Amino acid sequence: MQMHMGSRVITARITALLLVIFMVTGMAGCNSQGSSPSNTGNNAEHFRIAVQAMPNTLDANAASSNAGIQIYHNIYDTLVMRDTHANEVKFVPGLAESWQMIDDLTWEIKLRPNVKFHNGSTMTAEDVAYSMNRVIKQEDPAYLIVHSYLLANFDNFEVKDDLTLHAHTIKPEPLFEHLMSDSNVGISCKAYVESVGLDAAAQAPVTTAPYKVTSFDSGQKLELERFDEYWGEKAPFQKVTYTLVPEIISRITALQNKEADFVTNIPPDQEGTLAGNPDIKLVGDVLQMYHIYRINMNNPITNNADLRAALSCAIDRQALADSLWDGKAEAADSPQFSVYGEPLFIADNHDMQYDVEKAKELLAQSGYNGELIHIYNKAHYYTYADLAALAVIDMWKAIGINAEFVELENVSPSEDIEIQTWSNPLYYMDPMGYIERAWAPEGEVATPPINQFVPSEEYIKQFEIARYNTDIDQRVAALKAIYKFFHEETPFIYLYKPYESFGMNANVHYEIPRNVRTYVIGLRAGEISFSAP
Amino acid sequence: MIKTWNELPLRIKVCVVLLCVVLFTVLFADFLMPYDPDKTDLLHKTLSPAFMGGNAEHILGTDELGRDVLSRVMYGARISIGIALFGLLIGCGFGLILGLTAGYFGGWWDRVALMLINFQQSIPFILFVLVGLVIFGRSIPVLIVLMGIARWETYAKITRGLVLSLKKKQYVEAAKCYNASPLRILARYIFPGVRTYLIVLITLNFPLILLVETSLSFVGIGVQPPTATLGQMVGTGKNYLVMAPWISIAPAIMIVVVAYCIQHIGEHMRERFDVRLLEK
Amino acid sequence: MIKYMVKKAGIAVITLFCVLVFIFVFARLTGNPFEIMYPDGMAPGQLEEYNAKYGLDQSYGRQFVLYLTNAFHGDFGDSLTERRPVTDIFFSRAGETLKLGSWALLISVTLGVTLGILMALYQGNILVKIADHTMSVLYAVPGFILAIFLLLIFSYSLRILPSQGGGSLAHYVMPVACLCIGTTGAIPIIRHVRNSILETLSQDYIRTAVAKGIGKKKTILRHAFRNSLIPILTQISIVMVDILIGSLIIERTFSWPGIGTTLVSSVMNRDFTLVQFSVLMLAAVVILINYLLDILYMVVDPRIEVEGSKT
Repeated sequence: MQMHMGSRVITARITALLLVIFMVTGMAGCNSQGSSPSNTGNNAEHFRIAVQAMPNTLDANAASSNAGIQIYHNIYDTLVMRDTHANEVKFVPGLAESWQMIDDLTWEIKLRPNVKFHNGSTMTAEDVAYSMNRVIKQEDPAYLIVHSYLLANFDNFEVKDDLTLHAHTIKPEPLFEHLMSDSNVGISCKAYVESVGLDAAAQAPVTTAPYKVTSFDSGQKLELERFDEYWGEKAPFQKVTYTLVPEIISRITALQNKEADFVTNIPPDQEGTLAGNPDIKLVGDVLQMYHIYRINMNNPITNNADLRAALSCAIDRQALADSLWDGKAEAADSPQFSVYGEPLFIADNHDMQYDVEKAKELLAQSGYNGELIHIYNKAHYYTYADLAALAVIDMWKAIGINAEFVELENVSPSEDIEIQTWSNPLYYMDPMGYIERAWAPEGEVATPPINQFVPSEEYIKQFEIARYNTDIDQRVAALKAIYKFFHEETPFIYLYKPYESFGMNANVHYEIPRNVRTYVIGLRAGEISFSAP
Repeated sequence: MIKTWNELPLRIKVCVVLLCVVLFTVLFADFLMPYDPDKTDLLHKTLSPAFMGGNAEHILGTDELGRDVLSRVMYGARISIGIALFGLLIGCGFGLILGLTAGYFGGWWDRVALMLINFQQSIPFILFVLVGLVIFGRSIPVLIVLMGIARWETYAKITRGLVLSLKKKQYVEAAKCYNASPLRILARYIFPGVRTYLIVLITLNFPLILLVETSLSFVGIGVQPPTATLGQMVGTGKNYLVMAPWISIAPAIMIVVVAYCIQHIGEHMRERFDVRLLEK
Repeated sequence: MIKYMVKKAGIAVITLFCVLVFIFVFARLTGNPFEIMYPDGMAPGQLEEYNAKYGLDQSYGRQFVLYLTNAFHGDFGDSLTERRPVTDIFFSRAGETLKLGSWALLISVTLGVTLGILMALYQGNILVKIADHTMSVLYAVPGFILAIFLLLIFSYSLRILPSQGGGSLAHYVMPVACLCIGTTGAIPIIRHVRNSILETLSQDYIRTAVAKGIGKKKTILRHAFRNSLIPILTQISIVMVDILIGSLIIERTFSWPGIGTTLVSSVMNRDFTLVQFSVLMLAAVVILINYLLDILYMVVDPRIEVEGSKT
């Protein structure tokens, strides 16, 4: 009996201790620094955005993902900037006041004086040279992508004096302004990065932008604050919070509840959920990107150009746009974007057409014997890609092609893959803005490990002209040759430009910024305002 | 062990009947389904069920891709229940063999078994399943094996404990004296003592495994689309809860009904057999 | 007694080490994290550079030795996706989950034990019967279904509770409620307590005590409950581990930045360093709980065989 009483007391004490520990931890939880306060009163003070995805890093040179681009536009300045309201791409001075080609391979850049970084220091040519050269020299494996499509033609940025730089290129660079105005070559503070290291600077960057980063947790939220010493027009909001809310139903609820003022990635079939709510509006547009099928030109089944062309002709793109996207997506009709403006945009090119008879003809010509073709898709990545694929497979069945849909966590490059879903976003407003990134003769699709694109000698020659020639007419001629190659060889099938909306409080005045990459959220002066009701 | 039907309480009878209906549907789903569960029909998306204003062609309406919800629930039930059941059997079988041998033979094998059990217990179940899914892909056989492997230590531990206590019984000692082979002893004397307890355990664990599978599919890391499992249907349907709640509600009800019935029956059996076991 | 504790401690450490080796190897079998980071494709040569930078191109053995040497200095590496120390990431996220989990555990245990005792005492009562039925149904409802319906009702329709994030007390209500109802919360505890008490009550020595006139309620609180303590504690430890699983779903639905979602995404992203550390920590917690339970068993009832059938 004695023993039992003793052990009972011990047990009781241990239990009590555990309870106390839990209560204390729980209390600590309640007193934690709060999240976004509810917004009453002056709304222009704090703007709350709920996003579907958050980037892992705030180093704009290290990532070109869609998640990052929502943010980098607002926390990095570039040498050249674009007018985000103009109908056609228009370049304006940014951190650089002027720039000119002083010889074939050199651009002279004159910087704006007295530009302050978030930490109070002044921007000089050293910072610009550092920011660019570290990408050119590939100081971190993460920089390779940005290097490959924005700075591949640059050899080095040379400091001439505090406010002057010479950018040395390898070949003449006709797209200088396009490249220098992309947020992924935003300017960072050299002294700061050198003192804290690349990784720490990537979590808490110091730049010249209208907003400075006050806290960042890539699994949860990003907090920005207005930078009062900004060289240009001051930012509209004192404080901005991006919160990660991956579930669509949670984002919509957050908007409804006024827990968020602005939410991203609302696909067309969710618009009904928000309809009829007078406090909310949707701002949507066709995205400057194509959802595509990338076809493996080296695969034993799909290495036949006639078969590939047949696959393309058999797809009724308009039907896909109508049934999947309520007609809001724009069916592809040629491998280009009208935003280039003429003459770079070739208005009479309509070579992606739905023609069942032609498809059957091409199929017969190809000698196709019923081999099974697979469409590989990365799960939950491209909106409605799975539905589109199922519908396309039905269309192909109708002309006698045997196909199957395979969805994977992750699609690794392999020779056995016949077709894979992909997207070609427009990185800058020039035909090379997607052609170079995806279809360069030495680019990622043409080289191992992907190794699916086989350019012809002619294509390589024309690509060189289209990319580097400074005469616009020659470029247009080369582009026509490139499109002819795409039409004859069908290395890819463009489906449509998808449509997406942002949901926001009805008192937010926002237009999707033009002339920038898709998914950019514009929070700079003149791009957005939020008046209190 | 055999109870006459009439002696069972009403609740249990209802559960058994419901389960039989579900089982029948699941087994003969191929003939009972009005439509192909995977066939999409984009022109008839999110139609309301017949009793909520839709037409009688789709009794439970259609989902976001125009697929018939009733067919998908039937087919999904088969997959979810199948995965849970086979997983359970694999886990139980493995645990049983390990527990029986470890408990009976003892010695170094017992120590090894104990270490394995300990090890298995320390790895969070969810992590085990996750890593397994990522390495081996998200196919149904992989899921079944993972469901089984992840829980075997419960059966092993319990079996081993039972064997240890049964080993000391007189009739086992007597059989040893008569030089009965270990296999015979295990089969004739030990296993029957363990069997009923295990059956109860399986019945009680089944709903838990079912819920785990459905939870994983809900989060999107279970069986991959377009194959329907109940959890996945609830998961994709949650995005349409406001506009088309039946997409989630129908499979959810099926999950709850199956889990509830089996659980009830298991509890009932436990009450009956536990008493017996205690009396031994 | 001491010998027992030391022996058990030794086993615990070895188990932990085995877990580490297991997850080290198996995580690397899942693929390459950098391929996942660039779903739209990498620049030529980028993969090789990444692998070289993080030592992934070396043999498993060498990688493991390097990892262990660093670990002894407290350096468990940087997350491959977030590029900051995994210890920082894990503890901040685990802290978030702990906030939810500890409240849920507290409420579950308190409610569970209290209701369990009450239901054992007043077994024949009609209210108890109704409660029993309700509990049965609730137990069969998966946590995620409960979560989304609560979200729909209280956040979307009624708009009285916030739908995501954490900070104010209101943010805690729905997630904690979800964790407390269902398989991870109060219900298994209630059941276990009630069943254990009822079982003990039917035993001879209890009946003797009641016959002696000690009174049913007092008897329960004194003897029956104490003797049921062990299975109850086992059940509580099970609930503690289950809350982790439950929190995965809850965190996802309520956008609560806890360890559950981090765990899933780190496995999906093949973020080896983060997965390793998370598993190590979680396994350590589970092993610790089991170890403490073993000690507790010894303390509460030394009649239990040291290596026997603990069912």
